[in-house]
Amino acid sequence: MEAADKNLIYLYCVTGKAPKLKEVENLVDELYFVYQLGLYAVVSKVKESEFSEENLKKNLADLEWIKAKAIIHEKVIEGIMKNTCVIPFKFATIFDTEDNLKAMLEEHVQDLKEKLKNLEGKEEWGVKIYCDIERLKAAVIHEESGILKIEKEINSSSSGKAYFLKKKKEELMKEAVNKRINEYGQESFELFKMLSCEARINKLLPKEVTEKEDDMVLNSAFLVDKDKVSEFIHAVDDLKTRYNDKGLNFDCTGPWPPYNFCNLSKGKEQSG
Amino acid sequence: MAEQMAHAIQATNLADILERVLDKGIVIAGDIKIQIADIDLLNIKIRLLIASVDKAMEMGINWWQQDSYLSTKARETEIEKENVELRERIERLEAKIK
Repeated sequence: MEAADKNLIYLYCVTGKAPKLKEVENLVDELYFVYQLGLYAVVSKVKESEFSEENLKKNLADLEWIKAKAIIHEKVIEGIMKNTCVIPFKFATIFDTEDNLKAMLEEHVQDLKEKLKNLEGKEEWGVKIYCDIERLKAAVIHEESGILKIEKEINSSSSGKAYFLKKKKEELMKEAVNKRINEYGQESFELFKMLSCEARINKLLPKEVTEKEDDMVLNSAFLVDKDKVSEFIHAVDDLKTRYNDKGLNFDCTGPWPPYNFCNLSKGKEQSG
Repeated sequence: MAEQMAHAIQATNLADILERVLDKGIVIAGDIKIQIADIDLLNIKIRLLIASVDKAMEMGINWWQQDSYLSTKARETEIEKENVELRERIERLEAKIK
C-alpha cells in the first residue's frame, strides 16, 4: 500500500504578462505557469516527499536544504523579473491542486492587479550600512571636547580617580558614538527615501548572520523608479565616500524582486 | 550610465537572499500551512535571521521609532508581542535541548 509520491504546486511569483520561462527552465523541474483572470502564476511541480506539511517541517530544520531551495526560489523569480514585473511570494507557498491555486488568484485578483500596477517600472534596492565602531570612535573623539577634557584629567589623576574618570569617558564615548550612528543612519535613509517611491526599514541582522566584522546599523529597502536607479546608486556612492573616514560602509544590492513592497493592502498588514 | 551594478546574486551574501526569501515576499496562505518561525529545532542561523533579537534597540539605534511614517504604534505593539512570543519559544526550545 505504498502511496505514490504525489505532486504539489510551488508558487514563485505572479505576473500580469505572460512570463518568459525559457531562461529559468533549467533551474527546476516542470516549471510552467497557470493563467487566471489576467494573472499568471509561475509555478513548478514539487514532490510531497519534500514539501508536504510534515516533510517540509523536517526539511526546514536543515540549513543546507533551505539554502539550496531559497536560492532556487530567488533565481527563478529574478529570471522572470528580467522580462516582466513580478509579485514575489514567500518561500514555500504551496498548493495541492491547480484549482486551489486558481481559487486563490481569483480571491485576490483585485489586490494582485493593483500591486502589479504599483510595481510597474520600479525596482527594489537594498541598502545596508555597517559601522566599524572603533574607527568611528577614533573619528569622533576629536569632535568631543568633553571627552578630550576627561582624557587630560585621567592623565593627571590618582589611579583611583582615574578609574572612575575612565568609566565616565567610556560612557560619554558610547553616547557620542550612538548619537552619530543615529544621525548618519537617519540622514542617509532620508536621502535615499527622497529618491525612491517607497522605503522600508528592516531588522538589523546580527554578526552571526551577516558574517561581517562590522555592526549593521541600518537595514533598509527601497522601491526605486527604474529611471532613477542610477541617481540612487550615485547617492549611495556619495555617502559612502563622505562617511568613509567615520568607519561607515554602505552595501547596496539590487535589483531585487520587490519582496519588501508587496504586502497586501487589506488585512493584517493594515495599520493606522 | 556606464555604471554596472553587479547583480544581486553575485553582489550579496546568502544572508541577503535568505532574509528576503524567508521573511519577506507576499504572504497568502497556500494549502500547506507552515510558519517558518514555527519550526522546532530550526537552525540557529535561520532563527537569528528571522527571529533576531532587536539588535537596533540593543545598540541604541532608535531614530526611526520617532518617525510616524515608518512606525505606527500598532506595528510596534505587534512586533513587541511577536518578540515576547519568540523569546518564550526560544526558551522552551533551549530547555528542551538541555
